[in-house]
Amino acid sequence: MHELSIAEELLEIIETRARDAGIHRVERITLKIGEYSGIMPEALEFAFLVLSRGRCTEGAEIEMQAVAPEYLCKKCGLTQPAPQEGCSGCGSFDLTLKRGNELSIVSFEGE
Amino acid sequence: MKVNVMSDILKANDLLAKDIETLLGKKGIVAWNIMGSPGAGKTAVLERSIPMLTETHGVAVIEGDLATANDAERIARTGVQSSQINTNGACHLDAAMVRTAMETIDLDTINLLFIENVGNLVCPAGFLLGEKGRIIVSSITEGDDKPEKYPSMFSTADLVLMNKMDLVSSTDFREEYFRKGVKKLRPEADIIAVSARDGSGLREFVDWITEHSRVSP
Repeated sequence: MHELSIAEELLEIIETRARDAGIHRVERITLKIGEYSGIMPEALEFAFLVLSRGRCTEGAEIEMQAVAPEYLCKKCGLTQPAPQEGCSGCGSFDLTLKRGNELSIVSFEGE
Repeated sequence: MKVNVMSDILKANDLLAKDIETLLGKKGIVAWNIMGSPGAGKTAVLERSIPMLTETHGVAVIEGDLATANDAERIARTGVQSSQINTNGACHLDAAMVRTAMETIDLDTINLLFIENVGNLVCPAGFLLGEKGRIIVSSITEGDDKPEKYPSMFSTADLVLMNKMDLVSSTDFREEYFRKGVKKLRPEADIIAVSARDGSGLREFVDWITEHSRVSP
């Protein structure tokens, strides 16, 4: 989607948090990217690379942990991957997406 | 040194969306985020439904488009307040744009706000706008596999309208296949077949909005 603007938001959050922690050079960043987040990891990484020039994240390694979609059945409580036709345990359609649309920063390292 | 962040990248937007939701809640207004492809019939569905909705609701519409005020003008002709956002290239609305557009709407005279997003089946999904829920308008001419092709959007829908049903006999659209595609991604979503052209199904849509827009006193 709009990976460039997402990368800019990401950089601004890291710059602020790095400044607070007294970190001048960020070496490694860990992200969680849900498969339903609409984000293309390669495009995000490229945008990050371009925007990082001359900033504290220049040259940082970026690790993206993919998160597969997971649904929770509100009737029987079963957690499952994307259902085919209702809950795979009880057949109910009262399921809700619990994981899979994440777009978050887990941590970063630097000195 | 390692810093644990655990923050959503779009947290700034989410916080502003929460502020909008709170403000609307105080005013007794329920907002719906209308999403779908360009040409799916988002504006047409609203145009045809607004006369029915205004029998019982005060309605306003925020229109999001890359360019032109065409859609806001179409909505204004129905007699309700409308405000146009031009994103000038941005592929989705964000909460800050909606907050600005809300300043041009008299919030004391409405209890229902539709925010028609930029026509796009990908990008708008990630951005909360302060809505109570999301409505996807998907026209049958787009094909019956759109839900599975665009899971990020369909997995967040509360209501999916299958629009242009008047054309169904001229297409290979498999209604059951489409319904299953939606239910796989969002089992709790409701699905209504409509035609903004001949008006069929729109009463059911209006009833759904009425039912789901009740504000507890």
